[in-house]
Amino acid sequence: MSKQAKASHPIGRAALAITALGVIAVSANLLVSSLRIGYKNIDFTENKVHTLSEGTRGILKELGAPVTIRYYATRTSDYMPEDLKLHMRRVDDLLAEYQNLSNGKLRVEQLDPQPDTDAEDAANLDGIRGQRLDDQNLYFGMAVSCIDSTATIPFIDPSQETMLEYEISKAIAEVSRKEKPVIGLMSGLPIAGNQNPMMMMQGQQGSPPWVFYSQLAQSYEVKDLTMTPEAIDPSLSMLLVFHPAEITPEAEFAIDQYLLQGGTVVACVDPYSVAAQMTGGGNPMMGGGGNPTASTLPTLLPAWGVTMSTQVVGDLNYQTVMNGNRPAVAVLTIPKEGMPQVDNVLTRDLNSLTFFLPGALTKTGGSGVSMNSLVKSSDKAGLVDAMKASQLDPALSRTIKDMKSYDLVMHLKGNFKSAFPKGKPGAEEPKPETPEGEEKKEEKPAHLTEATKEGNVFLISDIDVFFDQFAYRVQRLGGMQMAQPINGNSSLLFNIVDQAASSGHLIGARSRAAIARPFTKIKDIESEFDRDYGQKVEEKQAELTKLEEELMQIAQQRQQNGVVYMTGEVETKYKELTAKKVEAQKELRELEKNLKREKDRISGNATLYNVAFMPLFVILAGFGLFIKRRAATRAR
Amino acid sequence: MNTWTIFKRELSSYFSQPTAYAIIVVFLLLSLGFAFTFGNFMRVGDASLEYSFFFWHPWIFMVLVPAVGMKLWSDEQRTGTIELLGTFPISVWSAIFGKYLAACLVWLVALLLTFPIVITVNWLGDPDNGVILAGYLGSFLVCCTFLAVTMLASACTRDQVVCLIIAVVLCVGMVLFGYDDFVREAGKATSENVGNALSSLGVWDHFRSLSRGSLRLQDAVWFGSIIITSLLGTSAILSAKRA
Repeated sequence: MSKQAKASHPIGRAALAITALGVIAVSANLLVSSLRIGYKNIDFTENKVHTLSEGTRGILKELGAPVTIRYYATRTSDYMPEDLKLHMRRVDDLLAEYQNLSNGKLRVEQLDPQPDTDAEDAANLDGIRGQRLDDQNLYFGMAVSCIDSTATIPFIDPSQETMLEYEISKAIAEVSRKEKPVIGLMSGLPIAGNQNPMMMMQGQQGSPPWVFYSQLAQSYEVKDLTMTPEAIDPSLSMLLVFHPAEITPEAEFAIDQYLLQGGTVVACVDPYSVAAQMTGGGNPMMGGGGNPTASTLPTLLPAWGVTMSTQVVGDLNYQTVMNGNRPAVAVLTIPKEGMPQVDNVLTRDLNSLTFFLPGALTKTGGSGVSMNSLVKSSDKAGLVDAMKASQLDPALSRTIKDMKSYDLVMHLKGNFKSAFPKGKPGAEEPKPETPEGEEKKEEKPAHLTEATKEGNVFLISDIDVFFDQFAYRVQRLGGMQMAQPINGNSSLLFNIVDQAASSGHLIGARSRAAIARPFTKIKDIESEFDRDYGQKVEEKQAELTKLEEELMQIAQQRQQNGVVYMTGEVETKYKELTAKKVEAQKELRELEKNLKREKDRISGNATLYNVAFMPLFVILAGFGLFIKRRAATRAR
Repeated sequence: MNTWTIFKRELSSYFSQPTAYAIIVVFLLLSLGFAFTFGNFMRVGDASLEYSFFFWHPWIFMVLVPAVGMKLWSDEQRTGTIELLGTFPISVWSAIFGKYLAACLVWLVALLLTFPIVITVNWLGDPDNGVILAGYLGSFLVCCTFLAVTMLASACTRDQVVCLIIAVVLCVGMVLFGYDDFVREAGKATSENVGNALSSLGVWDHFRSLSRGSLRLQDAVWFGSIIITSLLGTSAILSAKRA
């Protein structure tokens, strides 16, 4: 009896101890996951995608008034998709990190807008409407408030993961800022949208503004100066000159004077604008020839020490394979290697840029200002015909001679000299009625010939980089427009704008690296195949064409002669040509099959090496060890 | 030093019998096979291994890890060598740590033997190797956690098969409780707070964070607390049985 009691006692105590340990472990985990301290992390990623950027930290440090984030997320719905739920957790983590860094100035309210609740009313007041899914409203957005300003992110899109931190930081910076900077816009394209009443009468709807313009207008006041401004206010934070086709000397003079007073100019000039061609180049209904496809600054560029080619840049290394596996030698996808200044805040966070038929910028010097290349082509680039390039002519890559590297984006900085030393063009004629003394007096304060402040010019040799179809993937859901950047093009523009016109911290908060890491080897193989076999394919194609012509001739001869049966000689020739045609077609198809075989070979090899070889190695190692051990045993 | 003695003995017993080799081969075939089949490794063309490769590890581990750990103490009790072990001047903790570390090393070797897939993704694309390293760390921590739980089950039972069943049930529970589909169904019956609690107690929230390249404090607390709790529980059971 006493033995039995003694034996069960230690087991009972052990069970009690284990239960207590379990309770402690569960409590510890629940506690840590509910506290903010649980989100402190060690970030293993290469680009620190889980660490808030310096820009965000700077913005949070500078917070004066308290900021509130109302975070609306439907958490108890049966219909919330899996990827949204996963992304919701990431947003939870990110907001917790924001709150940690803000030292109490940022408050995050987590709200679940169930039907007929206060949270739902608050969401509607903030302008956040739910996504309709299976007869339920699902909410996943946030509103950022500071005193009486509110900025909203109506829907947190998982596919725009890379932009999330920027969106939040921009909203915080926006509501805590006192007034909006002003940006001037001169554009030869309807970037701000087109509500032409004549087009409306003809039943055409006006074109919407470009996506980047809409985004720009959220943070800045954008003034449309038209292409013929009399003068440009030097208090503008920045001047955007986009596709200045057929610009007048007077307009160039106005830009010149703005720059000399310390202005910042972003100029997108283009030897061939695909956007202009797509949006109006060939429409006979519009008066005249539509939008010109070529634009430049004929007087300003030489004065700045730069020239731009009239042909476009083709690049064998950076060419892009378009849909349908067609190589586009003049559509350049620039990787990080094409942005040589790795420490430049404008380009260091960009992973890739895509240019469509860009021009080549060349430094001629003599302007006395510093010139930096922000983006350039590879050293296997050359100038090609713009018209052929726009038609994706496959023979274009073979026309490239004298390969070298060209600049695509440049930053000029310094004290500029005027491109118009004689003053405003068109106002140089002497007025005989005016006395000489008066005329001289008037002329002096009319214009500047030397800079009074240091100015900045950003030259981009392409306007298509910012066109909707080339920079964004746009979906229009009802009245809401969702635009997802597909490359770093828009980030480049916003980096420049933010640096010059707004909080410098936003540059660091922008365009955190995408987490997706696709295979590049397959793409390399496609480029290599095109380079190696492109000529062969063309030769086979030409041979086929020639053979078909000869066959046609024989058929015509037969018709003319009215011969029902061919003579032996003609019949033999006909059969020969037919056999040759079949052979050429077969060889052509064989060449195209080679590419697919190469891809399949890589896939098959990868699978074999990974799945089969290592297990086999382990089996052999174990077997070898077993044999060795048995031999040792036998010897003993 | 005593821990080292137990460690060496346990490790040599693993690799002198076919058990470890068989389990490593099965693990390699399953993890790499799943990556190239269900994970659509080549078709998706994603050089980060998060969803094609690491996603399968908890599912594989919840069955295979108990198979490695099931004989740690059950076998000792069945053959009576636990009493012989008790006569040596070895503390309970030394024995526990020695056995535990030996089993962990087996799984470390198994994980490292999947290096061909890392070479493959580095050849096919430009992956973030820091994230891959974090993914391996996450997988290893899941192994260690499941091993600790298995060791606790092993100390409570005398038969390997019973131990395997109990350990697998516990590991499956930890995997399923954290899985989103399960959490959603449980949330229907109870409340949102219970769902969140289940999620934070399961393996997925923490493992997935690591496979994305972020080791959070709550992840470290989760892995550490379960390992420590299980090992302490093992010590309590063994001490009670020895008395």
